[in-house]
Amino acid sequence: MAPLPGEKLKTILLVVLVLTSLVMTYLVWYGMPPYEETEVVFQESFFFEEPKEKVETIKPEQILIPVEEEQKVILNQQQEKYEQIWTEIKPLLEENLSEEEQVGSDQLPEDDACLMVEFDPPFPIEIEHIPYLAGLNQLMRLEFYFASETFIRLEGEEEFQYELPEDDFVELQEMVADFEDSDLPRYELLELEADNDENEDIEDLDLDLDIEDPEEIELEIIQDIYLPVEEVEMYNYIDLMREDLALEELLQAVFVNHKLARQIEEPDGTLIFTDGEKGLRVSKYLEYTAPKLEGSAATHSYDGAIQEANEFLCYYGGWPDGLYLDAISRTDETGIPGGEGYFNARWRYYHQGYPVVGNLGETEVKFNDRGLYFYQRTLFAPGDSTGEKKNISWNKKVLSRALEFYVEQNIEEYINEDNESAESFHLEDIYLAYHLEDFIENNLARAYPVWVVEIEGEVIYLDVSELNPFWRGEEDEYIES
Amino acid sequence: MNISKAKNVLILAFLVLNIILAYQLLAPGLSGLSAGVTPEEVQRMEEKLEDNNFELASSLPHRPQNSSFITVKPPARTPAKLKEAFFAGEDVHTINLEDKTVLEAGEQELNIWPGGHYRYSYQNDVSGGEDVPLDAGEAVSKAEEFLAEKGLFHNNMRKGQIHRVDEKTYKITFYQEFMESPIFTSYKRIVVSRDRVTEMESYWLQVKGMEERRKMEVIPAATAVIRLLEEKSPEAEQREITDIELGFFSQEYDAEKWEIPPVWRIIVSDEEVYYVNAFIGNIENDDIQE
Repeated sequence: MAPLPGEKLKTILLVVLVLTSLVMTYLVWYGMPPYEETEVVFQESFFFEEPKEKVETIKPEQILIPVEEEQKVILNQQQEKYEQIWTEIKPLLEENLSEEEQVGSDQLPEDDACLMVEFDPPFPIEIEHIPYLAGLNQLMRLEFYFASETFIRLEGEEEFQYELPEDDFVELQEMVADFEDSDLPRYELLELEADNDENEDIEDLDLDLDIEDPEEIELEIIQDIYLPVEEVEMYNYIDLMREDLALEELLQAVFVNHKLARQIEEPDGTLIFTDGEKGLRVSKYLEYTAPKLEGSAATHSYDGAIQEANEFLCYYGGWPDGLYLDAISRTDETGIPGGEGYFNARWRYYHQGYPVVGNLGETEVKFNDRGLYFYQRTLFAPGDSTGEKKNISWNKKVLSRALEFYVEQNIEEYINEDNESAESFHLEDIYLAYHLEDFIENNLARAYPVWVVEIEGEVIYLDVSELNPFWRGEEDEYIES
Repeated sequence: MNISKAKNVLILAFLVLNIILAYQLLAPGLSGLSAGVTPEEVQRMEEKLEDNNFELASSLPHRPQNSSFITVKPPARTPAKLKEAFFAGEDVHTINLEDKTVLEAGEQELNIWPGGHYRYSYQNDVSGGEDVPLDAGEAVSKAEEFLAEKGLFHNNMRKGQIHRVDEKTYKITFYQEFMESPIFTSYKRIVVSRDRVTEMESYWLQVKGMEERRKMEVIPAATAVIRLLEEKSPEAEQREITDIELGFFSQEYDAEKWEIPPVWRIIVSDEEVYYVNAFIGNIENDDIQE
C-alpha cells in the first residue's frame, strides 16, 4: 500500500531534521576550539626590512690624514671623501687577512701613518675562522703606511701588523696624496698648558668662576681631541624633513596583534598606542616602551649586541640612509645572568660631516636579554634646504664657558671637600654639530650649529654665536625659553 | 504506537533539538565558532584558587562573549555649567588654583579639575540630624533625587556597588552603561549621610561609540581569574572573589579622546577591585579600594 502524501512529507521533514541536527551537533562539538587554539590574539608578524650586513652596521668615527706637521685633515660621515675612502678600505675588513702576511711591529716604517681610521664604537671583525685574531674582535684603529710596500696596523685589545702588496692600494694612496693640496680644513690636537703629565693647568682658560680657589681646578683630557686650526664652514641652519612613517605597519611590527592596541589622542595631536604592556608614542619623535621587560641582565657579546640593535632598528621602522650607529655600550657592570643591565645603542644623522644632535634628533634603543624595552626614533632627517654658510672658528672661550657652566651647575659637588674628583674634571670631547631645536611645522624641523663639549659624562651644547650653554636633556626648557 | 505517531514525536524531538543547537550557534552575543570556558580552564582556575588560598564566592560567567574597544572623550561639563547645576541662584565664590577651580557657596564646595573630574561636598556637620538608621534603599533614593534635582541624572546610568560606611551613611556608585555593559571608568559616586547627600564625585565620559570592525572574542572569566592570581602572591588567610563582571575600564587620561578596552572586573572580599584586560589578560590597575 502506497503511503499517504502527508506521511511522505513527514518522512522527508524528519530526514531533514535529523541531518541538520547532525550537522549542527558537529559544528557545536568540533567547531568550538579550545580558547588556547583560537586565533584571536596572534597575527602574522611584520618587519620593515632585513637587518644590515654586519660590515654595514659600523662605519669609522673619523678618518684622519696627516698633511702638515701636527695637522690633519679629518673626514666624517656624509662627506664625499669619507665615503670614497671607506669604500676602498671596507673590503680589507671583510676578507680574511692571511697569517703569512703578518709582520712584527718593528717592521713598520718609522714615519707616522699616512692614513688613520678610527672606530668608535669599535668595528666588529669577523673572527670565526681566524682565531688568532681574537684580540681584534673590536677594532678601534686602523693605520696605513705607504712605503715600498703597504703596511697596515690594526689596533683592538691587541695589535697586529701586516705587509700587503702595494698594488692593492694604489687608488687609496692617490686619494691620500691629494689631500696635501686640498682646501679641506686642518685640525690639530687640543693641548692646554700642562703642569704635570696628567692634569692640564687651565689658567689660560681665564675662567670666571664664583668659587674659592678656582685655580685648584684641574682638567684632564682623556682622549685625543682635534679642533679646527682655521675657520670651518657650517650653515646657519639645516632643515630636517619628517620621515613618512608607515604607522599601520609599525603597529603591526610592534604589537602581537595591533587590533588589541588602544589609541589615545592627546590635545597636541600626539598619538599613543598601548596594549597595557607596551606603548608606542608618535609625536615629534617615535617612542616605544615595554617597562615589563626592564630589570634583566644583558649578556650579549659585543657582536651579538650590535646584531640585536641592528635587528631592532631594521624591524621597527628601518635603517634609513645617512643614519649612523654612533655609540653602543653595556650600561652597568653586570653582564652576567641574574644581574641587571642593558645595552644602549644610539644612531645619529650627519650633514656634511657634522652630526645632528639633541634629544629629539637622535635614535636610541635599550635592550637586555628579555628584549627591546625602550626605543626612541627621530623622525627628522637632513634634507637639502639650508641657511647661509657661516664661518666658525675654535676659541678657548668655548671650553671656558662650558667649564664655567659645568662648575656652576655642580657647585654643591664642587664645595664638598670629601669628593676629591670634583676638582679634577675629565674632558672627553669637543666637536661641532647641528642641534635640532625648532619644529617649524608638522613636517619640518630645523637644526642650528653648536659646539658640543663633553665633561665628566655630561653633554653641554653651546650655540656658536653667543656661546650660551645648555645641557643635553634640558633642551626643551632651553628651546621654550 | 503507529508509525505516523512515532514520526510526529521524532519530528517534535528533533525540532526542539535543532532549535537548541541553532541557538548555541547563532544567538546574538555568541559567536558560533567561539570558545567558551573549557572544563580544563575551570579546573586550572580551581587549582590556582586553591594554591593562592582563594575561594570563588560568585557565579562565573560562562557564556562566551564578543566585545571591542569603545572610544571616549573627556567629560563635557564646563565649570560654568556645573556652577549652574549645583548653585543656581546662590552666591558663589570662585577660586582659581593652579590645578583646579574651587566654587564655594555657603557650606557647599565644588572642586573642578581640568580633565572633567569634579567633587562636590557639603561641609556642614550632619551629625545633629535625625537619628534614624538609614537603609540602602533610602540612600539610593536620596542619591537619585539629588542627581535629578541637579540635572545630572542620565538614562544610561546603572547602579553599581552600595557600600555601607556606618549605620547612617552609604556610599553608592553609579556607572555609565554602554551596550548593557558598565564603563567602570565613568562613574558618579555619592555619599548619603542621614538625610542628605554630603559628597559626590563624578567622572562621566562622553562615549563616541564602539569599534565594530575590531570586535572579537574576550577571554573567559576563568582565564581572567587565573591571570589575576598569577600576579598576586598567595594569601595567608583565605579570601573570596566576590564578584566578576564584564565591562570597560582604562585609566583617566589628559587626552582629546581615547579607546577603552573590555575588562573583567574582579572584586576581592568586597573591597579590592581589579580590572583584567578581557583581550590579553593583563591587569589594568594596581588594586583599587572602592
